[in-house]
Amino acid sequence: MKLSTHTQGEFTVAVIGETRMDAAVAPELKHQIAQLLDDGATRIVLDLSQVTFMDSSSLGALVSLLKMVGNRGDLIIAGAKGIVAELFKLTRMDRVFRMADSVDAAVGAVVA
Amino acid sequence: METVYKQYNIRLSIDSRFEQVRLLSGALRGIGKELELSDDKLGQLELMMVEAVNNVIEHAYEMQGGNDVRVRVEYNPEVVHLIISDSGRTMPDELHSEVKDMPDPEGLPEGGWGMGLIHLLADSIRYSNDAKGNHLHVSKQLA
Repeated sequence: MKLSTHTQGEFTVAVIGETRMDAAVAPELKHQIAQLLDDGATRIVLDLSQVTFMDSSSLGALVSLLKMVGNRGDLIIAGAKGIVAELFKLTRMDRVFRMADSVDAAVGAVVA
Repeated sequence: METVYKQYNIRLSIDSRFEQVRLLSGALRGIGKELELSDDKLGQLELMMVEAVNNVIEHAYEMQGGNDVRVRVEYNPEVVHLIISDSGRTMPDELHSEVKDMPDPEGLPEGGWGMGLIHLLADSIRYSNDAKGNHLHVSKQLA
């Protein structure tokens, strides 16, 4: 799975470079973000702006990562749109995750 | 002049592996393009289909590859019917016969949304089985 990372202020921004997040890539997604946590990242913004489709198995992987982050950091979902944003709403997981329209909004909201 | 639409009917089949599900999505997107569906509507159809096929792979076939997952798509400009068929374990009645509550978000669930999502997104759901296997029929009005 294509994933690139950079830092923006205190945040590690992980950009998903795929248009599709499904059950075939969910384990790899979980592994790669978990690796960032193992490497010491605690404040992560996950940029989903390139993702046009996501299924519930990938959502489950994100919940698993949210549990790993726990109270010691942040996992903010940025740039979800279309059916990806709808998936969060239908499952009501938009109430559990911190959601932002963009990476800049995510970083700005937390800093503010 | 009144336009008479032809009913279309496409049969697709993949092996019971998650890596193959994207092929079904590609075919559905082609149909969506032909019907000039909005991205929103197409996304909903794709999510219904993918959740149903994932369920088949995970539960009916218990993650064993080498089995057939069949999807029949029947459509016209008013409605799309998806019939997802398998020859594996039959789904328990309570999962398809009634609207399934979503898992409580506060419990931080990592799964269990599939049939609930299909119930929310579909206009009708029917599950049947016969000598050919199990069939989940879901429909979505387009108008």
